[in-house]
Amino acid sequence: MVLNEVEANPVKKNRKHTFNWDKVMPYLSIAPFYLLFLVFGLFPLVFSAYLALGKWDGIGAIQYTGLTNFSRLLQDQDFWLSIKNTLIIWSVGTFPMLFAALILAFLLNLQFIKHREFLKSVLFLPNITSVVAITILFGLIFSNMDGLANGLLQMVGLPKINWLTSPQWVRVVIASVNIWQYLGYNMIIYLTGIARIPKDYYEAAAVDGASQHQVFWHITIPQLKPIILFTIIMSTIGGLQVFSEAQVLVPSGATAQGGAMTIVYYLYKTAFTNHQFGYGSAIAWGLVALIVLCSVINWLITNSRIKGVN
Amino acid sequence: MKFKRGLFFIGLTAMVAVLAAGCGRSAQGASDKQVTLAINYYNGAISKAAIANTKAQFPKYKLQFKQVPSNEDFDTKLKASLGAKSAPDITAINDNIDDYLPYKDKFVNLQDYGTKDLAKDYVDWKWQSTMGAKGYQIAMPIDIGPTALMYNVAAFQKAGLPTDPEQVSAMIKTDADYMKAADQVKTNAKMPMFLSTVALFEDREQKVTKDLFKNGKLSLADGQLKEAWDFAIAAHEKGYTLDVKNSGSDSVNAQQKGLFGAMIKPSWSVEDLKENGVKPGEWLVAAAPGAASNAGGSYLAALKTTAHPKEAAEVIKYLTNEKNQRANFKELSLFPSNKKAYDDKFKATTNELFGNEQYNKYFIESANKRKYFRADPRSSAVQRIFEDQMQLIQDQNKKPAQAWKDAVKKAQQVD
Amino acid sequence: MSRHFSRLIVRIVLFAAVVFSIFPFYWMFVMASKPNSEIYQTPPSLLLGNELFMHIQKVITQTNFFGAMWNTIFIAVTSTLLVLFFDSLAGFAFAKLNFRGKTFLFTFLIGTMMIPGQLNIIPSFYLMDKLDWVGSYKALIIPGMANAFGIFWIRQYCRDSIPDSLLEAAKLDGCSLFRSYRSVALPIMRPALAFLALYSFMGSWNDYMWPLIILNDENKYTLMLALTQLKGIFTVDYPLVITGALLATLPLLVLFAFFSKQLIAGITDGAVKE
Repeated sequence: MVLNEVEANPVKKNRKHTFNWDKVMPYLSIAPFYLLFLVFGLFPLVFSAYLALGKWDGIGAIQYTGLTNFSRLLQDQDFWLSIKNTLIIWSVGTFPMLFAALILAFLLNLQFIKHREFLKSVLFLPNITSVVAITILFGLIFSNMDGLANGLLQMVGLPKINWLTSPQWVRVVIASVNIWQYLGYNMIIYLTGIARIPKDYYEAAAVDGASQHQVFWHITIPQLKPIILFTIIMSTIGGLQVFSEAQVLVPSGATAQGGAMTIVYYLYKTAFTNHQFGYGSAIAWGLVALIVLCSVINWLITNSRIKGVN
Repeated sequence: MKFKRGLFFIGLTAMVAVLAAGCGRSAQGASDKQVTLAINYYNGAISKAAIANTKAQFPKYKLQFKQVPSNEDFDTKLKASLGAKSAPDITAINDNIDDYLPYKDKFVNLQDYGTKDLAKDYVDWKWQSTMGAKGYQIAMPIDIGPTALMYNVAAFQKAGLPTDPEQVSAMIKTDADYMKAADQVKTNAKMPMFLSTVALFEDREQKVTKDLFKNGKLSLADGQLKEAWDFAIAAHEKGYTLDVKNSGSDSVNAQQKGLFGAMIKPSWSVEDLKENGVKPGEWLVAAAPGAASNAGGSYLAALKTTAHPKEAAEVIKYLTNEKNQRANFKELSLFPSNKKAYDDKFKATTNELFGNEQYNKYFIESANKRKYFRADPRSSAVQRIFEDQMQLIQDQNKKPAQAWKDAVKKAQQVD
Repeated sequence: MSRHFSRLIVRIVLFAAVVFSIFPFYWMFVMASKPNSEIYQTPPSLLLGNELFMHIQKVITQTNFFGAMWNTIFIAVTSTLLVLFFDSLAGFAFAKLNFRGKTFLFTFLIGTMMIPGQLNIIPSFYLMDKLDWVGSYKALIIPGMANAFGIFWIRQYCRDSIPDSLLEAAKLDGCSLFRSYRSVALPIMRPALAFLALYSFMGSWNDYMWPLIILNDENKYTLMLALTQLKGIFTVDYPLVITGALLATLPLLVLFAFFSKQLIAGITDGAVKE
């Protein structure tokens, strides 16, 4: 069908012209992104790099202080603790969620499932809410005193949990907002990938008498590799920048030791609440380093793992 | 392939639309010579009635009131727009005016436009807090947040404490009295007196009479901060605190259900109590124990970038006058900083929440009692460090001595 | 027997997932329909209260709800269309075309996503101020119209799903690359585009911080900004706020219900039929 469309188009014979144009075309296609970045992205970037080397309260002149901010950062316990918090929230919120999304996508694709479209839509629904709104709701559900979660615990005779003030639980609550919002979203991404796995692969597997279990591990996962890599990288980038959930759940008195202080929250509090924009920038660059590191590790692991299965 | 052609066409149209929208905007205000003043304020800083009054008072000016969400977001926006082309002419400033005093040059000196004579009309400490330097006034005061004691009537009754506001005020006069009452509430009413350790610390912290910095060096108010700290710790250790989060649903819940005995609250909390779903008669108002606290309340300032400083100053003077402060009080419970508003009618104000109690006298007393000191812009960050450590004591039983040590260490790094 | 059993397990798992997804929405309705004084009941009551309509009315009268909704729709639709065009083109180029510096440029593009956006707010604002874009929707639409996420996504999708043979055939027929993109690649990308459209639309719909900094005129506020008018100074009337959140989500829900068949089906059903 697609080929027909191409054939139906009048064929241009002017080879020379086409040749030149095609050389430029790749650059033209990607140019908008880089132009926009040059105009809107580069200046803020350079500015925050400069800011990281100085002291600024957001109004007056920037005082150059050299690498002081970075040496302070390396010794700052709160910074390292907030990295720990972030990594915990990220891993609790990301890996089980991605795996569950993968399984849901696979299950939804099984032959005997009915109402498939309905199920897909319903599972995707959480993603269309705003983080802030949904976090307010989660805050009510998990409030320490008479939230729904504690109410249910008490109904079955279990003791209340201090969801929002215990360092362990508050991380779980923050992660759960993320799981809820992105489970269906990632499932849809995987379904997109599954849909373009050629049907004959499955048919061949069926002929060979492969179990669904084998199909999942030996066809679906290897075939989805680029998409899985995409979701892991995006979840890493997003997960390490988790902020709104933490800020809405613990709007005041959040501390690194308390568990809810993520890196971006620490950055935000330093810069926007305490007006130390220079040090805030240094934290931002610490975060960038961490994201790069995690992405590279992810990339390596995912690449080798999935190859191994193949 | 209808899809792709449609996409291209719509995309193109959209781009044109965006560009056209941009052009439309720049063409707008070019030709008219009318004085236009943009006024940014945050939710609940100015009442609708005051805005209507002002528009009626200055029919020749085009006044564009813009409501911006409060808190840090408002400050971020204000800071970003200081010196920017798109800055408003007039802006509200919250109780963190100390952050802006060092940059007085970014603001119009209102005393150039005859505000000097108005000083006697305003609460003294509030007036002083607007002075960037001697003779350089960057803002006019709108409201203040004097404090009073709000107490849980049922709890006091059970505890064997008086429940009449006059008697409560007479009995709980000092911090020591306050603590003694807490003990009674605990023993007799089997209930904590205070909402949380952090809240108690925050109240007490506001009663210090010096800044946390002295000549640019961290001084922690020469021991006064430690006194406040120890006060809160003592209450915590004796079990006088309910220890829920200060903000958010748990504190609303605790007020609604009357799960603790008393709290020191600024005047606007009257409105908050109602919003939080408290029923009439459950809480009453008495004089706050100890020294006067709370330096809250907002201001109006004109930015130096305005093309019409004179007109802006006029509007500011009008918006902060007696009449409009009364309107703010009526609509939003914003306590006037203009003393002319404290007349008999004002003193006789009642609220359905408190029956026929005339509670404003406590707030007026507190407003006049407070002494001004100028705070280093770093002070608020240092305060927060101590409050955060207190939160850890409250939530996770961190050892107070360790928490204090950690806080001091962190405070020394604030630059 | 065991087959039935495993099917039953699959159904149970899917059912649990549906409950997990739906319940918070239901709970939103419950919270929105109760007076402030009843949302802390113990044991929690799972039934709806009867103040929902009162709260809805309050939200609509206290904010410029419909105006803000229209503004948001305009911004979301415009930026989504632009994003679709620029991202699909660039994603296609990265996936299927060869050119010098591709690897470097692509790594760079991924790198830009790793910079946390929060600190950019103040310098970005200066930039917009210099451009005279403060207060204008241009500042909300143009900087994001070619974004790294979408390009990355389209590239990942295109890499394996557009057979090189098709493109070669098109080339032999004398198609320019742009025409190959339009006639060969774009139709195949459709599912990926549908997803990107959804993502981009939600993104602009729910964006808060940047519109807050940029927009000055209440008449131009987006829905998320308009809702902040509901908050008091220091307290929160939770049922009202939740009602606001619900109302802001409702148009999306309706839109989604309306288009979900096309969208989700488009996204997930067989793209390449060879």
